[in-house]
Amino acid sequence: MSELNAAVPIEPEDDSELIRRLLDQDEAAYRHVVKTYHGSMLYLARRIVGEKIADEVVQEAWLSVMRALPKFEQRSKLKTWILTIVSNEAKNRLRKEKRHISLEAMTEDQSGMADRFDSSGHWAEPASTWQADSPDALLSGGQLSGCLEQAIVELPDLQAATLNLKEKQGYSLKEICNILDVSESNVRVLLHRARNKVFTVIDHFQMTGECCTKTAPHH
Amino acid sequence: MLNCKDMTTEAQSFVDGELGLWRRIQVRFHLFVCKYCRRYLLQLKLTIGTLQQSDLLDDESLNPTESEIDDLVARLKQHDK
Repeated sequence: MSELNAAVPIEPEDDSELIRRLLDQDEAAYRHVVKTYHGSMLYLARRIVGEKIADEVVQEAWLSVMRALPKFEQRSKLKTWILTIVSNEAKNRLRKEKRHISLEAMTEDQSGMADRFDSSGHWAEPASTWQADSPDALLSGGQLSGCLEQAIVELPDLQAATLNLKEKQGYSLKEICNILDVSESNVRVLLHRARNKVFTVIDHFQMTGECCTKTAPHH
Repeated sequence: MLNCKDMTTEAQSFVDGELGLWRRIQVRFHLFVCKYCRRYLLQLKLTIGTLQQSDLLDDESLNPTESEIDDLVARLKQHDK
């Protein structure tokens, strides 16, 4: 890294300045974007194309980002735009390999929530009353964390990607539908089903002290 | 009128601040009369808080090492020339 560039700190919230410096081939700016965004790019790519070729897809996406950067009009945040490029690269890769994402499989409801109502839509099996009243209390002891990690790994990939983009990265539903290129109503279904799966795992653990191993049958 | 099954969807949109005024009134009315849905909403919020505050969804383990950053930056700069 050049000493001159290293001496000028990057303002993480200032996309315009960051883009200007990237276009000037400022090494500190390059390092900053790679360090800050690469992990999220890889997570998203893995959820679309699988772990095996996700690395390759992200490398391609970086090159596309740098190629397209001079034309980037900043109608979205830089990170959102980069993740959209990753998603497009990943889907192009699937098309080339004649694989496709089945939205039906991706929106599969693994929570079993639908089975907890009677024919009139009232609770037949309501949630139990949880003893814990905070995330820390809920996860104390560590066993539930393991159950939840497993449940998230087993989620259909687009449900997990949506959950990550919404709950960890704080994107709005509209931004997520732009990144994943699915309709807003589908993003809502993906998010709700993923959350309900996590909900039912916690609920089961609160009742029994055990992981919920049952995956709801596909309807 | 909303039933409890509808509420598992509406409660999520309610938490996300996505409902219009009339739908919010319907949700609030249902919550007023249904203790199970009040419990569902309360625990749904706790579920979401847990996902946001814990490291369950972290992608930090995928962050590149310093040497991976060096390699990638070198490749990008090469490409830009």
